[in-house]
Amino acid sequence: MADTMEKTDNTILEAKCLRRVYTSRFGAHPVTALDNVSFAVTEGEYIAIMGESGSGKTTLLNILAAIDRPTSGQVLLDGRDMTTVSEQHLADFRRERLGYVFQDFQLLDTFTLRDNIFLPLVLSEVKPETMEKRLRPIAEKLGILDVLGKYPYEVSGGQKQRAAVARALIVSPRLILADEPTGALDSHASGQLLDTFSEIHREGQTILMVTHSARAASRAGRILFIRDGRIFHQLYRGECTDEQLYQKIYDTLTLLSAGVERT
Amino acid sequence: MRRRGFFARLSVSGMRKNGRLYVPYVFSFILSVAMYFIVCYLASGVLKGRMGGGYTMTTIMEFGRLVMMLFIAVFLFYTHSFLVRRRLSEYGLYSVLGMSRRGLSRLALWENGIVYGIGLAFGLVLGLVLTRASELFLARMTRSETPPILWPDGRVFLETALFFALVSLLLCADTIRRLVFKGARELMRQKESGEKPPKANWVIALLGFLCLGAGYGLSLQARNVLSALQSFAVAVLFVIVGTFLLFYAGSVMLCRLLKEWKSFYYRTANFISVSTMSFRMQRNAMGLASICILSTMVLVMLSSTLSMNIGIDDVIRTRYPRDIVITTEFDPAVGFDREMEEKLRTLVADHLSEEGVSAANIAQTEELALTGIWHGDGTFSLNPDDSSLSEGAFVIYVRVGEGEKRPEAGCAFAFTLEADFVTRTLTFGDMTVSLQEIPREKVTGNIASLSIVPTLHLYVREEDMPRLIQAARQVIPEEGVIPTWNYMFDLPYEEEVRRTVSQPLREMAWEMLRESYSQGRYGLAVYRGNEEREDFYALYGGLLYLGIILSLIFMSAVVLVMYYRQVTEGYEDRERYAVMRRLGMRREMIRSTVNRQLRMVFFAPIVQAGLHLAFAFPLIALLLSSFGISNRPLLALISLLAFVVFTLLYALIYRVTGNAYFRIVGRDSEDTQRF
Ligand SMILES: Nc1ncnc2c1ncn2[C@@H]1O[C@H](COP(=O)(O)OP(=O)(O)OP(=O)(O)O)[C@@H](O)[C@H]1O
Ligand SMILES: [Mg+2]
Repeated sequence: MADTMEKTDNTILEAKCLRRVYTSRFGAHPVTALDNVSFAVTEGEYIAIMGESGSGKTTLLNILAAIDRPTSGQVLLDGRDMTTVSEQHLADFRRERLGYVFQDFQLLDTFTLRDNIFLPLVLSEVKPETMEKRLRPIAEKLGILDVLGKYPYEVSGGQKQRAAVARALIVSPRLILADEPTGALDSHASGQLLDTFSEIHREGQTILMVTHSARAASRAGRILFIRDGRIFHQLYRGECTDEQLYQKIYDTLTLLSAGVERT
Repeated sequence: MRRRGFFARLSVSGMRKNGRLYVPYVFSFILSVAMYFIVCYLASGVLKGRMGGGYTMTTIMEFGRLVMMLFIAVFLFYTHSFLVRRRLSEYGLYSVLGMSRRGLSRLALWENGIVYGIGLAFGLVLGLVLTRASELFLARMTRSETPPILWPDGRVFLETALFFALVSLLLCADTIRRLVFKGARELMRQKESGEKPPKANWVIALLGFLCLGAGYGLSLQARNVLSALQSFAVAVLFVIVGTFLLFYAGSVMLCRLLKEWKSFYYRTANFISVSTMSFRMQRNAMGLASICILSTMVLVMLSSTLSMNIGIDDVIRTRYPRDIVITTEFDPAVGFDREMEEKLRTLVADHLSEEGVSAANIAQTEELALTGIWHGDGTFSLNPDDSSLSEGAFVIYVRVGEGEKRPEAGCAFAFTLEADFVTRTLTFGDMTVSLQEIPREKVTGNIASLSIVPTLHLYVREEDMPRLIQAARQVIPEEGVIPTWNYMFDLPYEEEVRRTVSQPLREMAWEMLRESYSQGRYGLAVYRGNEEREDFYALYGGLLYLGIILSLIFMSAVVLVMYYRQVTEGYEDRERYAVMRRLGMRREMIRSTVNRQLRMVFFAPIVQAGLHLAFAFPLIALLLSSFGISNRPLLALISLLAFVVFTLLYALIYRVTGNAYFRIVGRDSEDTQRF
């Protein structure tokens, strides 16, 4: 894995000095959710983002996915500045290059799981036969083949989550953005999901995953720690095993909660 | 203790927050008040004496008032239920926050009270303005002078206020019922998720088809006005029930089929439309079916009343071919009394020259009217105690045929509108006439009279006429055999002159008849065309007016149903579209999806309404023929025109209400963009 901070030609995504300020309608207290965030994602990387609740992780992911726009700063996807792209093209970009696994699944209740997974393909006007062909291996890998015909409210949280992952995977995205994909799962199910992520990562998939769990983060190649909208630390796997990395993460988190600044 | 005015303020703020829903509702309330007020005013007797045919018109308006009461109540209830449903979760929140049921009821009372107040105030003002317009319209329809302005009686105001107060109270009771019988939790939860899309139900579909088929069948089967009248209500009921069932089952099945059709279903626009439709089909179907029924009613009312008013001059012309018509009925024992006819002609001529006027276009006809029961085998008879409206009741007009209408001896040329009338011979006692059909154009006089009894027109030879009278008397009692002589002429003078000249004629002719016949049955009537005309104008014009007013109310019901559907669905779909935008759906894709979804449901009710209209056509044509309107091509043309115009209007409404939907759906996806 190319665990390097230097930009290489293989950089998929680059965030430059991202800043996001939420101003409420009545303008009482502007909230700075992101403050001067910069980092790059290289092809094939598996990055975990950690941070306390409210630290700005979802905001960051939304900006990277061009669902939200930064107050200032740039997002370069394959070298292209997303902040200047027209809204029409953004939609195409998002649909064709990104797979987003939302924190709250965001499955549509009027669609079966199958149709939910097909949705981005349908939006891209892919033929039904092709869709079916692409779905099979993914559904098999995620173990949701037999619940594809069911509606979201008929399946468990884990199955919903896996369907959401399948929906992200099916477009063969350049980059997968996952917002706490294991948040709703028990340890067994989250272990399974993380195995799947590791597997697709081995196959070359680039992944950016937000998580609260050190266990989950320890599967990644690099971990970014966010606090109050800033990246205040990052960890590289280097030659560590999962277990060693887990220990490192754990230590960092302890330091973090102790309030010690390290930059 | 809460401060005073708490509930008033709460209800006002609640209604303002839901302005999108309340504004159209209040508008329709205002419209209903205005329309009801006008019809109330017109029915209050103000037309009597102020307008030609005022008495007839008043009767029609009184009838119209009753119809409106029913429809306005149903209409307001229906639209109000949409409103309440949208607000249940809000009430639920209040309830969770600790408001008692009494409090909720007071809130409901306030809200309905406020709508009532605003609706009544503005509605009465609008009504006052429109009463004048209505009077002018009616004066035009009856071809009478513009009546002087008249301030409505206080009773009219009171009656309107009371009626709507009653309706509002019932609406309020309905709101409370919905609130009280549901727990707070239930009130707050009202998502459609958690239920499967309804299964296709073949039994319901079949039932729907059967009902529709029965309704259509009844219409196609009606052979004469009498059977049309009898089956009309039943047919309407069947069609309404059938429409609801079919829309319900049909749309569910349609969604199923569309989902199976992969290459159609997996297209952006269809994908989203079909899947959301299949979930809310039940509610959807009810809305669509009501739109369909309302549209059909508008179409039927407008096309029939319009045809009546377009054909009215023909009707009058056939019934009263001249300015003055003197109709004399002779005793069947005497038959056509030529001597008396001559005496009457001289009487008229003398009278006219005395008055210093001269007649033009003088004409006369002899006509034997036979009323009896026609039996399928071609015999004709009447039991004295048979009612005239019983099965097989028939009127036969026999005239002497001349020129090409002169038949062979013992034969008759015949024409009838009755499809069932297939017989070669007709038998009266010991006389049998063989019939030969002639085309309708050849028939002069009154083909379809203002009578609901089937009619047969016969042309016989001069010498057969007396024989026929005698033969008919053997099987029909005296009062069913009426030799009638019509003497008619135009008076090309002012209407005033016509009136003064013709008035004494009646008395003078009676005098002569009484002198000549000491006994027996005889009758006389003197019609002044214009006098009769006024009543026709009043009847037909009044019905057209009611047709327009009711159509307005129905149309606003259609608008509201569509609008509320769009708004409700807009709120439901908002989150869905937001998700889809996050997954990379383009803005213009949303636009096209919305349009697709609208179009899919757009065509169904209007196509079905067109079908209803087409199948109702025979029935309507028959019923109209009892009003003397027998020009079927014209009726067809008008129906078609009404359909086209209505479709355009409907498309417009759909566009506008569709925009409301798009605004809701589109705006929120912008919010999620958080620019
Ligand atoms: N739409 C919004 N308007 C205003 N403030 C917002 C909005 N969304 C998020 N925030 C604020 O921005 C900050 C970052 O929120 P964000 O959702 O990115 O947190 P997070 O790291 O994803 O938290 P969690 O782990 O709980 O999901 C928070 O303080 C939040 O209150
Ligand atoms: Mg978050």
